[in-house]
Amino acid sequence: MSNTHDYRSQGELTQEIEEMGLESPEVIQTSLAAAMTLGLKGGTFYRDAKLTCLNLLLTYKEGCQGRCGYCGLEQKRSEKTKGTTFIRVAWPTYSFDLILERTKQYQSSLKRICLSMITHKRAFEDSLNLVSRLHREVNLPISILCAPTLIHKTEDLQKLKEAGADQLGVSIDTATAEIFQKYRGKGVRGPHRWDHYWEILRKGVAVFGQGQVSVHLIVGLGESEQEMVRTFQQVHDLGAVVHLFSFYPEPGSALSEKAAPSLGQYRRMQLARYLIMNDLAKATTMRFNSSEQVYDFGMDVEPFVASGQPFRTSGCPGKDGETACNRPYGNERPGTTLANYPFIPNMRDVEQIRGELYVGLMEGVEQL
Amino acid sequence: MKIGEWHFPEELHYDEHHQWLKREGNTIIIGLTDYGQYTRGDILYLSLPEAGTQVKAGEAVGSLETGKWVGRFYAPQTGEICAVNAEVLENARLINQDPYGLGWLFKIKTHSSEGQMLMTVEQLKVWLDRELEREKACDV
Repeated sequence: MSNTHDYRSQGELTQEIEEMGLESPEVIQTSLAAAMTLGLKGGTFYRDAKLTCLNLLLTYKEGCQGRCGYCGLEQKRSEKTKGTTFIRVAWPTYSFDLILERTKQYQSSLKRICLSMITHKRAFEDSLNLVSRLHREVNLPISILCAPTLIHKTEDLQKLKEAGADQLGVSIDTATAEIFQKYRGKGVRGPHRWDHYWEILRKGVAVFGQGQVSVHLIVGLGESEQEMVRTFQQVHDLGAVVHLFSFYPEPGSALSEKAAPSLGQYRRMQLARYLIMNDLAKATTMRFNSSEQVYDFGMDVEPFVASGQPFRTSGCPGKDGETACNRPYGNERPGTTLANYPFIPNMRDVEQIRGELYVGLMEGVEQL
Repeated sequence: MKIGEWHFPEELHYDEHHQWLKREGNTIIIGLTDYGQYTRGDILYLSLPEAGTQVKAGEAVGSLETGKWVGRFYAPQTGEICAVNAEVLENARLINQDPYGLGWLFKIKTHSSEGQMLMTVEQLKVWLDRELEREKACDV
């Protein structure tokens, strides 16, 4: 008995693309979830989750010139694991024409496309090219997750908008300048600078508009809850929106041995983010204990906990205003407790979330 | 035999968990079918029962995980786990690459004929065609 496929597997086609040395814009990486959704890879989603935003990533032979300690794209990652995963899973490579063709075929089941730059000298021009093509040929809103280190002028952001992107993403990732320096800047001899990222954020809001710029923040890189909540407020006050991630230790990365944040910490941050982004509370009205953990949100949070909404994946919206970028199982293994729910949590999920929300508080715990 | 895009050796039996079975005397070898490996996706993690474990027909005996899904393996018949594929535990992708050969999962020494309904490849075709139609209807 042996495998007798008479056609080449998609894995072999992907390998063929890499061996020919093709790079963006001719080829593009997609998330595993996107490849599954476009019928390019087999697979099933746990709990029948459906991906509603295609995540695409530019790719070059030299890779990303950043050295971010937690990132799967980081060049110093051990040879055994380099190129194998990014945000937990493999990102297969396909020709952009194929992705475009499949996106047109499946667009009725999608709500958005997101193109991510990496820090590479060609990424900006290639992004303009690919965003333009997507905008011309597909009737879906487009997000551009920019590499701020490559962008210096407001005119550059304007060009991205004119190419067809309606949402700009700025991956600041860390809650404090200190952690940024440690894992993204001088601490890893990386090219990124905290002040510059915030400058691009401000310029981005000026070009794309209020509510049209998102800031990625990762919980669990060493910040306190209070520091993260203050950063939420700062982003909100600038007119931007936070999209939250739970740190996941990428194998072979510099932070592969670091533990993911506790579920209690992450749930409290999800709730704080939701309340601040929706103008329901402010960082200044929340109460923190001596360990800088939030133990009181300054209001009755039960209706919002009961809705489950704060614990859904936070991401760019579709035309209907609902979250499109739901990144199923992007932050955790399927079958484990979900950090971010890619769908509305059901009653059982909400009961579980209630039990998680105040776990790990050092003092002053209030039970719902 | 080919059903849809997937290959099913005619000498094997099949169950409704997308597993194949091959009898060698009192021992049955169990693995995941071509369709099973495709629909689950690239397998990353695997948990299989230990040799010596007593299992009952229908009981969940192991699990597999892909990037986006987690599911279980089931004992198709009552008996004792007499062998587990160590190669597949080292390299779960063998299940995707060679589901009927190197990707076999475990063996059960059966004590009785108690077990789930097993299908020949012809019976499987009827069942799987229905399953595929049902899934297509859900996708609309």
